[in-house]
Amino acid sequence: MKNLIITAIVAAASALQAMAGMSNSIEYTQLYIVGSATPKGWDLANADAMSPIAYGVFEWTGELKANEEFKFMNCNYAWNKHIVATEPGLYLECGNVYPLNFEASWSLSDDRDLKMRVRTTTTYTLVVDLNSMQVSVNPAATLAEWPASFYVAGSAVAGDPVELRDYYGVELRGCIDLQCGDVKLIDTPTLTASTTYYLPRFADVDITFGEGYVNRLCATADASTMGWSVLVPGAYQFYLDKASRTYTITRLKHYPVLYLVGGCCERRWNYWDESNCRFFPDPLNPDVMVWEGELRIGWESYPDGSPAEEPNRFKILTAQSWFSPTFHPYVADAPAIGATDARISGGDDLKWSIDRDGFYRLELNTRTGVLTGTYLGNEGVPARPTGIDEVTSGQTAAPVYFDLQGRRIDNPSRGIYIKLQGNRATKVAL
Amino acid sequence: MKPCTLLFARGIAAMLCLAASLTAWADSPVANPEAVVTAGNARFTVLTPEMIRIEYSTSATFEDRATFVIQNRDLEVPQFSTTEDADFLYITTSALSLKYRKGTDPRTVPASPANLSITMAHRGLNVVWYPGKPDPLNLKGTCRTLDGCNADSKRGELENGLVSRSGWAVIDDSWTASRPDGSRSFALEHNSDLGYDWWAPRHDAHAMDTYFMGYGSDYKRAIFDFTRVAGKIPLPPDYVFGYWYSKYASYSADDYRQIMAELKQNDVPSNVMILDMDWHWNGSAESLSEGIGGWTGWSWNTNLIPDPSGLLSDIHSRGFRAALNLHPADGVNRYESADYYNAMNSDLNGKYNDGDNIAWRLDYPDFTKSFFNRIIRDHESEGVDFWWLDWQQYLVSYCTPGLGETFWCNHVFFNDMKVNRPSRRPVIFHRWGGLGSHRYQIGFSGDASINFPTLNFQPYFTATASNVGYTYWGHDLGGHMFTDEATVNDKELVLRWIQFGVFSPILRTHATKDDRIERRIWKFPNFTAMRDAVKLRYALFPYIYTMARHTFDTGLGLCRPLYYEYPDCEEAYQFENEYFFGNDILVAPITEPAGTGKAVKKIWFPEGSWWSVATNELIEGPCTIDMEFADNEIPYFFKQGSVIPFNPASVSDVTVHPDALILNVVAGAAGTGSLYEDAGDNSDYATAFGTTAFTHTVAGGNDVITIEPRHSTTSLDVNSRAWTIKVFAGSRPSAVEVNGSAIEGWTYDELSSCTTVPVSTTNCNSAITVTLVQSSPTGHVGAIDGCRHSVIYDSVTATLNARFSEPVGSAILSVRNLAGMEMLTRSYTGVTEIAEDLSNLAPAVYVCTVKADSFTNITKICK
Repeated sequence: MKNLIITAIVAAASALQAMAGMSNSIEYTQLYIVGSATPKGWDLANADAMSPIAYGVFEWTGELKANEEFKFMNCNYAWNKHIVATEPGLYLECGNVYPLNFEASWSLSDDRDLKMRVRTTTTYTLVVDLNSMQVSVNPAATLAEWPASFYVAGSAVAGDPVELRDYYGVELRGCIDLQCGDVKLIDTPTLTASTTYYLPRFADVDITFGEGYVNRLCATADASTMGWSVLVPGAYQFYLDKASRTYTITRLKHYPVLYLVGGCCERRWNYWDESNCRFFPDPLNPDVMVWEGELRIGWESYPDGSPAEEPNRFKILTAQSWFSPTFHPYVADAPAIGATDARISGGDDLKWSIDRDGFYRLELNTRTGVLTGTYLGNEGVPARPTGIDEVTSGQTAAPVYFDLQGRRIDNPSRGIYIKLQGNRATKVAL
Repeated sequence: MKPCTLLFARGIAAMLCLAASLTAWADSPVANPEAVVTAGNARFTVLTPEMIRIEYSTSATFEDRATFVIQNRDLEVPQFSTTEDADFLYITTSALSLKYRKGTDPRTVPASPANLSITMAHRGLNVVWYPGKPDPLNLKGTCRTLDGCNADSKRGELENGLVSRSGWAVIDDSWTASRPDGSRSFALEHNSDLGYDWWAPRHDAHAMDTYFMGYGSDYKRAIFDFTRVAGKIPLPPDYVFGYWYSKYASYSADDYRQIMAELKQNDVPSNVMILDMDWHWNGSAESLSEGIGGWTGWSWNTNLIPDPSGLLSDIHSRGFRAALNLHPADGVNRYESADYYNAMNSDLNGKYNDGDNIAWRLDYPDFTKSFFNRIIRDHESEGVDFWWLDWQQYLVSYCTPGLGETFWCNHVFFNDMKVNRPSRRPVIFHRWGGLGSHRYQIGFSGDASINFPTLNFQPYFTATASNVGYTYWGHDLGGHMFTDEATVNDKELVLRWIQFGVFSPILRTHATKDDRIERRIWKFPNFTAMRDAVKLRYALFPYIYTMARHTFDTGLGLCRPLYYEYPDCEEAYQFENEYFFGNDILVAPITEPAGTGKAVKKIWFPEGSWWSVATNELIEGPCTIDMEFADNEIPYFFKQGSVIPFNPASVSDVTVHPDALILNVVAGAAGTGSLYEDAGDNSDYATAFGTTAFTHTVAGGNDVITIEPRHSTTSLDVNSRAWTIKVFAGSRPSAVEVNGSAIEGWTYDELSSCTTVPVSTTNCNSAITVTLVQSSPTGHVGAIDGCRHSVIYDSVTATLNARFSEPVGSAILSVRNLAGMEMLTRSYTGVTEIAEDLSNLAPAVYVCTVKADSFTNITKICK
């Protein structure tokens, strides 16, 4: 907890420092639309946040009232960073692009506070590019309808198009090996005259583009329209979220470590204590992360006597942070034993559950997204016959104790230790 | 490569470097008209076959002045063709095909190739670029500061670099394109009063001004061409490559003298003394300046330092250079600096004055002129050598929208020094202010956390900054402020940080004002290892300085990513905290704690063979190996064939030019090297210098090392020199010849497979040839092939399997836990494989070491 607090203080101090430093600077991370022409009027605190679609590029679809004013604000907590027109009395017309000015001022004079208008009340899609300081205006864009099935096709795919599997009606997913080439999503198992192509907003963009942005598919029947490009061969994870109709494509990542947290874990939700919560890569298969140890329903209460929250549940973090991507099941309280599909972030904060205390082996295959849990019994991690001379065999051998860092302890005091006796290793509390 | 070919190549390279230097000194922002194609409101300038400038202005007002980023557009015009049809203009170079829809703004919102696209071949594909196209494969550059950095928390702040796995990158020099700090790229116009360029508004604030760089995987040429258009990376004075003592504390003059005395007593070579902000009145009781001054200050705190000139003189007499810390943002205060205030107030006739304070207005020439004349000149006359500009306030000027305080401070302080102290090299110590800051070296990375994860980020951060030419980051080695009391003075952490610092641009320990944090390295129990590291830095100096000159000539940083040399190897991107230190040394710093045992480091070795200096092994790549390193060992590796100049151990001042040097050579492959020399702090170094080329050839098993006659354009301190040639990874030669005659006095060390050859003092204008004569044609030690043998842990059977390509005489298996405790040892003889049951070890992570004859494998397993 101490580390968490210190980290939080450092982060907060850094954030405050950054905010102070950026007090008169344009920021590419946020943009809001305000004005009497907009649904929220001049209520800046509740103004519509525009969706980031690329670095410094924001999109908004909504109704604008004719002849009423609007402009953009670079933050929603102060009237000091204005994105305005470059000429007074500007009416925006669909299909056109207009230059914008950035004005950093707490008391912007009217001659610089140049707001915009439209002539017709209707629904528009506005895109603001803060890099070029331009805004485009178009009739409202409609989301492409999604087909029942998606196939990954293109010159980057060796062989036939690969169908993405539907996971619980929530998302379409697949991990596919790609070579250098192009990729398109299609709605037919093979290319036909009636195939519809589902493509990225930005033509030929690298397949991994989109982290942190709202990524939507554009449908077309034109086979010549460019899709994604793949310039780094490797395995890629496709995630197509059915509810939001957004997608994410990432390169398969090999984690050096993952963190097990939960009410049934020895350190409960304490991810910053690394003593017993770390998954490590299987040396033979870096796709597979392995954890082995004891899970117990309602482990001992915290030192202050409060019980562990969600005493029979756990999930898996990718970093020592609640804000990191998280592996969790698609179904609430999915059993830890057996094979279950693991979802990385998205959806509700669901967890796996156990129904009995004991020792478990958890193997998370990050390529297939399957968690395989094995119950190892209630007396420790079973060992196999030994060929190691230095370790004495048999239950009559004197026990040897190790702390949770693996250091041998000759005279253990109170605490939790790994006890090695003969060919059996158990975790014991003395 | 034959010797004559090598010599020819080196001669050509030297001429090119000289030509490049001279060319850069004649920068012109106006392009050759033959490189320019204008189409309505669009203008294209073909700068190189891979680089095209694209401008668009609705008023056809184009920019021919220098900008904050770009200095020179007058390059040799490359071959290109221009054609057009009814709708499109086409420009084709040997590398790029540009297509522009006439009469349109090349930019669309959102971005698309509708109006302008450039197509290029990359990785077997036709890659298409258009204005605004996102690029997630950009290899990144750097960020303003590591202030507040904890672990890799600043990774997301790294700006885009000039190289990308996409094959293209862009410089968006449009005024609209904000830098991450909110600042913009202004134009620059010469100010005759100040003597250097001053900011000016762009002609068309909404114009597009983008440089497309389509260099594919030729990252090195992309960076070189960037410095051709954006200005060279200056060569810092020699003293900055020595050790800097720095610590934020309320030191008195006697404290500084005591520290310098203790550095000397403890035989710690050092060259720079930093005086942090308590040199001036800062308002704090502990610095004896309560009630006077604050964050900003210009006048000496005479309670702590009663005789500033005397102290600075003392610092100089002990061989140090001195820098003072500045936080200029609050201007000049009547009570903190009465004399300076009055003088400036008089100069400015009360302008910028709010009563008791002259506001900070570096935006304006009159303020700047008065400020430098009255304050900076005064302190420089006292003996201040350079300034540490510790800007931590608002990022963009409140007076001039878009003017970045960081960039502008860099520009003004650096150029003022250049103009007003012409006999010496300008140097400042400041944060990154955005693209173009590479012209104002050196960098101060700021206040990072004291812990291993933060150290772990810095090798990647430092090397990656080369992607924007910011090649001289200086870190707070040891970390600045602590997040965990356990790491405050962790001796292992401080040692590993210093060891990394030896192989970083600037070797400067530092920390915040906290008595609990110790930075006097002689106070640590492992001081000997720390001092050895500092001494290694001084040994490396001739190589470092030669590589710094190489940076000036080529734009390639001292610390550079592996992918510069191996763009097609995935590992070159994955092993991100490995890097090249100059041309010939691969470094993989230890950045994780070892606990009580040796540190284990997984290291990727590219193709070729690499001499491990710490472990005396020649490792044949490509391979990935887990290696062990004791506290005093640093994982650095000489490329086979390389010739690397070192100072002798006696050198404790990098500004001293010794009359004896060491050449480190790795036997068994041809290679080259060089030694660059100049006066150390001369401003005319672009043309006044000397270079000595080294060649290394292998013929019939004999290694032949040639020291060529020095080529110099000026007189240099040392005109004759003795050499010690150390040839590693070779067998004992049967004889050694110098200039064709057998000599006595050479030695051979079995442990390091090193032949040491003394060469008596020789005129630097004479060639020297040293030949190691081998009795057999294969006179080199065998390289360890990390891939020929295998060690694999089978988690299903809990068995460790080691297989060797041939029987080994003896083998030892050692299994340790992460605390370094030995859990198991076994020995074997005459085996080709080992299968050891590890099922009785408790579930944990273990380090398994297999040593078999000359083969060592270290594998981390998870049970």
